[in-house]
Amino acid sequence: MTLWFLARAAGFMALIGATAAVSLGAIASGSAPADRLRRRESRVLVQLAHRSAAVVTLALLALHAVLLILDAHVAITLPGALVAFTAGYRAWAVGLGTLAVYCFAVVALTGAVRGRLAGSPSAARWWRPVHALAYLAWPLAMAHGLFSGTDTGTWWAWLLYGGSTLAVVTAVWVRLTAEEAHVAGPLAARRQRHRQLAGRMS
Amino acid sequence: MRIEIDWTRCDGHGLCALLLAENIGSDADGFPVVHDPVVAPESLRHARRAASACPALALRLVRG
Amino acid sequence: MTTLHVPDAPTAYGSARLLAGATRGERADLAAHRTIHGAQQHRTQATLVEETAAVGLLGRGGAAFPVSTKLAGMPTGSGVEVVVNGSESEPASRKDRTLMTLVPHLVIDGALVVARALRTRRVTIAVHDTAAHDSLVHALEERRRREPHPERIAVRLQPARFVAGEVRAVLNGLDGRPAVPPGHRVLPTERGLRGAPTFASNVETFAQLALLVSLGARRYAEVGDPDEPGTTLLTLLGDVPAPGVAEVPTGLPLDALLPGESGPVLVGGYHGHWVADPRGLRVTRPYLREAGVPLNAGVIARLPASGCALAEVAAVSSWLAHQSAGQCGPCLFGTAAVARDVATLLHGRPAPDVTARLRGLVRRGACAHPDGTAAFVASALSTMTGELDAHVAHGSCGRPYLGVLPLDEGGRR
Repeated sequence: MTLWFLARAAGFMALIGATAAVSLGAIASGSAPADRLRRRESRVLVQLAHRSAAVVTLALLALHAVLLILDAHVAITLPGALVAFTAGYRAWAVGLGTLAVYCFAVVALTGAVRGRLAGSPSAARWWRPVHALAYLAWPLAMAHGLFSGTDTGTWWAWLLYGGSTLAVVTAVWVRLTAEEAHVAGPLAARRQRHRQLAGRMS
Repeated sequence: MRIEIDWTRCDGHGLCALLLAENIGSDADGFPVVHDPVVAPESLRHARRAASACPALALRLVRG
Repeated sequence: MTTLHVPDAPTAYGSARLLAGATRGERADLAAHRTIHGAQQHRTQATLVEETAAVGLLGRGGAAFPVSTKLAGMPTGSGVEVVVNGSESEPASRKDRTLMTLVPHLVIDGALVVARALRTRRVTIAVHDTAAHDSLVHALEERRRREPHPERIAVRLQPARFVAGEVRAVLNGLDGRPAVPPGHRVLPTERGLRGAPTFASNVETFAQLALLVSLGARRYAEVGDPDEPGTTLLTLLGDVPAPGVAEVPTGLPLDALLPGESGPVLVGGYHGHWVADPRGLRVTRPYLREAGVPLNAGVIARLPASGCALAEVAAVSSWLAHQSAGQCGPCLFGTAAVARDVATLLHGRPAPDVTARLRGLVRRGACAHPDGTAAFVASALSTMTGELDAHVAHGSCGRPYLGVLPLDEGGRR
């Protein structure tokens, strides 16, 4: 039973980690142009925290999966964990978790090679949309927790889920507001206009 | 290694000037001012960190 | 037959070669062209590289890159593209549209020489001037009937903004992307039109190539400066004996074009440099580059002493600021700040930050626009010290703004 308790704990810790990583990521790059120079130091710290949270989350996710496979309380095998929706226990809900892990892995990989991608103009273009898979992975992870977790009924689980949602939603809202202020700036507005003109001039 | 800035991507976030002060300063609008494009071997770690931190992916390190 | 718009007659100092038969402002049709230049000839890539190297032919768009080097670096084959850049987007320059309008067949001959040497049939001519466009289309029609060629030549109308004339911007525009320079370094000879290796050069370069092939290297080099033999096209503006396009032998002293005393002289157009006294300078690209006043696309203007030189500089500075494509922050904000500073100086008030701002434009953009703007303004401020003093002392020099340096409506933005 120890493994089963540890596995659940790792799952919750991974959710907290993912929430931190996604929220910090959302606010790491969005900022109103006027604030930029003033907030440079804190932005570098946010980036560092974002990366650290992501690394810790990946480790916790791996731990969570390995413990559940080793544990005998629920019937999850290695193939069942790797192939989504084939687990012997709440197949559908566990499958969401598998998909979330894959998404997070892709997101982490793009994060790791980020600096090197700047060298290629096309890579620099696709980087952001791919990294934004995190916004898909996080709700998948939430749903996985809600539907497969055996603690879902408890007050503290609800508190964790509610708090995580609040954190991510707030961070995304902050990001979108900053982005709006940025797009209204002269540089972004001009770049945007070029993209729109592209189709018309030929 | 040498620093190259893609000015069409740079948004003037100013993080590169903070992380690679050996080579890069910034102007009043936050856009980088490259004092010296050549990265010294001892600054290479800072340079990589700066390239990785740029929110717009506008800073790159090229050979030469 | 359509009536074709014909520009003012160009002038030739010495004998006209590119503009042979066109100095009265008449368009040379195919028959007239063949009478003057003979039948279309061709060369292999190796021979063309040899001949262009022998006469030291330099690109005539502004960068003055050796044509032989560019040609030698090109692969050959049906996938290769040839692009004639006729997007003469500097309002002061008229030489390319004059060539395309008056001697379109010389330009086409040159494009076909390159296409045949590179063993490709893909030729694109990018223009933004409708008269030039019509003349080229008409010329191709003449050829289709009387002198068919296997190459497919497409004439494409392009936007007229200043930076849209830069070759990489032209290639982007032809490929359906925004006609702005890319932010990363690309060599058109490696990845150009449709991603294919592309030989792209200015209209005059192709006309010179046609002339070189028709005359042979020895006769081509009979006139002009030994460093850059042949002739070159200039656009002369302002207080000059014959304003407009002129064909001159290289090596010609600038005094020959600008006799007498007058106002400051602009060499190299709106990305060029002002000089107080042009005496001693001669029209040779390598020489002028060394002298720090590159010829660029060949615009030479002299302001009349009766007008306000600073007002001309302020008007062009403001135009240049509006021409920034707005892709690059230092250019978008920097050119605007510099234009405001020049306007401040025009009103006799101090602009203490102008030097720092000009420095902030140097090598901080995807193209040469910020650098060119900085060169134009910095050289103006260092040349026109007397003017500046007069404006500081009286708030004005008392002379009117004449609008000698032409500006278009600001381009499509």
